[in-house]
Amino acid sequence: MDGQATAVTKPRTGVADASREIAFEAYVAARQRTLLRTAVMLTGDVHAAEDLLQTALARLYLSWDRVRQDTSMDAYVRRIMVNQHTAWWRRAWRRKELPVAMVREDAASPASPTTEGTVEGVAERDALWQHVHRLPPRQRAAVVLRFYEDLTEAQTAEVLGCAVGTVKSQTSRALHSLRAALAAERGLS
Amino acid sequence: MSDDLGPLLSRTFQEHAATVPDPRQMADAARHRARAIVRRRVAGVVAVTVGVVATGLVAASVTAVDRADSPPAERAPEVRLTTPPGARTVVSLDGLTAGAAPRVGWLDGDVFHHSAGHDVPLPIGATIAVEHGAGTVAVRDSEHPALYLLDAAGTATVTAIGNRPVAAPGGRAGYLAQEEGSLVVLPSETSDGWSAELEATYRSTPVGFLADGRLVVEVGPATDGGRATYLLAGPHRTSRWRGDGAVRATDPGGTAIGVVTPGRSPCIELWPTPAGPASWRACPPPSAAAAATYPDVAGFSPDGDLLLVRGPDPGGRGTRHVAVVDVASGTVVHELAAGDQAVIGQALLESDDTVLLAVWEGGRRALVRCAVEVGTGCETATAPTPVSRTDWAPAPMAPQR
Repeated sequence: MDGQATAVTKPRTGVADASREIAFEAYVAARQRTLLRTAVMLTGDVHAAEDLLQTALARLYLSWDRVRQDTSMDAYVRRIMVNQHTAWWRRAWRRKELPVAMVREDAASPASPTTEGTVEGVAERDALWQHVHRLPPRQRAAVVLRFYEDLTEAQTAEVLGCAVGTVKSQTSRALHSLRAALAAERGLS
Repeated sequence: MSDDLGPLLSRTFQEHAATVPDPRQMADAARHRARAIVRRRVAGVVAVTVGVVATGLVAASVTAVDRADSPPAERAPEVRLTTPPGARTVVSLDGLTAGAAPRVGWLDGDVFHHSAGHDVPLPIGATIAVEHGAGTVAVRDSEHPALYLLDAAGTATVTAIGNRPVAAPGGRAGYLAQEEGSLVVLPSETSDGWSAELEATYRSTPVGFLADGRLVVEVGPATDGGRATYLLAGPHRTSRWRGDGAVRATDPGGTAIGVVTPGRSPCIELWPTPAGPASWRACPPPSAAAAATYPDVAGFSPDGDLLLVRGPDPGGRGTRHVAVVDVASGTVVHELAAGDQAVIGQALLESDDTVLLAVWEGGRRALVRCAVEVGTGCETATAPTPVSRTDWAPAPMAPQR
């Protein structure tokens, strides 16, 4: 029996990878701002989002030769971010923490009433933001990809690694939960 | 509000996106993290490899379990799995009486029939399920398998990317969390949950639990054919099993394991404990054409006194025969053979006295219960249902092994 059945990725070294390094840097420089915003939508927190994106980019770096054959590196990074975020959420769940614990309490309010509509409108969007980050991670990812990234159901399914029907059901459940949460909040106010 | 939630969500996201500061150049940090990941993987492999080849000083840094699981000094006594006269029953769906429902959980389309008696509706496309308390761990298997933890009503409490669930009596259950690269053992009424990181997660298969809570995990085969077996007692208590072969079944009520040795003519071995040595070994007879051969192990009885072994099943679509073997002596107690038009899919020891078989015969399928005791006969545990051989799911039951 072999001493070890596992295979590991070897560190990449040498001048032969110089063009690869340049290509990786170019990709990150071009896309990090956009991808970080997506990460913030998923996590609700800039610091967690940076950590999430860095993890995804590290995985991209390790898989660069394979992934660059694909025309959609963004899709690959988004998928890693969604899956990694789900994994973090699951770990929090195992520690008996609520998903909302991953949302910073001091998350900045995004807009001022002077520039973005009425005070009520801003309050409603702020509440919506909070409720989005109480959704289970896959539902949250579905609404982020559909309503922030503006991906089609098929593109969302590709990122989530699931069927289009699952995207529909996840999105539907998410919207239902959000409507219910906002309605309840209105009832209280 | 009902119709404008989409635009409101878009606006909300855009507003928050506008507040996200520009990140610093992240390429260097990502590269640094990538190298850390590689170092961690290499360190893990080295640690395991050292634990295998060295003794004494190094073993002390692994676990006490490692020292206990030393290789056996001598080959086990060989037995012949020969069916005694009169101990062979031919199983056919024709003429069987209807018996009680299975005492294990089983899948039927999108419904999981829990052994406690209630039905759990499963997510569409779920093809694998095991029990976890009154709930269920279900998997929709695909390239990116979705795993669901469902409560008794079928409501998903957790969705993850994972596969290969495994369960044992007492509420123990675990699964492979693919994206996390770990093996998760869920909390039960009597024990806490834990997870352990694994290398090569996609090639790992949890085999089953032992009574002390240890989980046996097979890793491999690798591209070079190598494989390894680990005993996981907790997140930081992993030891490698040092026998030669693959552990295919565990005794959930004790410490025994059923092993299949490598090679073209695999033998099966019974190890009373993972530390060994094996108490017996059964290899194919020299003239295999004249006798039933058993190249695989299906599982133990709840009391650990019986082992179910199964005949060749090259495509995983059914075998022609299985046999109940006495663990202590390695002798065949009862051979169950498929009728002329039948094949036997999944088989398990439902109790200390009964075997359940997933049988397909002539365009029908059913779960069939046969007594361990020879001459007592068989009965259907589910009503025969029409299905083509192609559409037949040969492994519908949720074994607790």
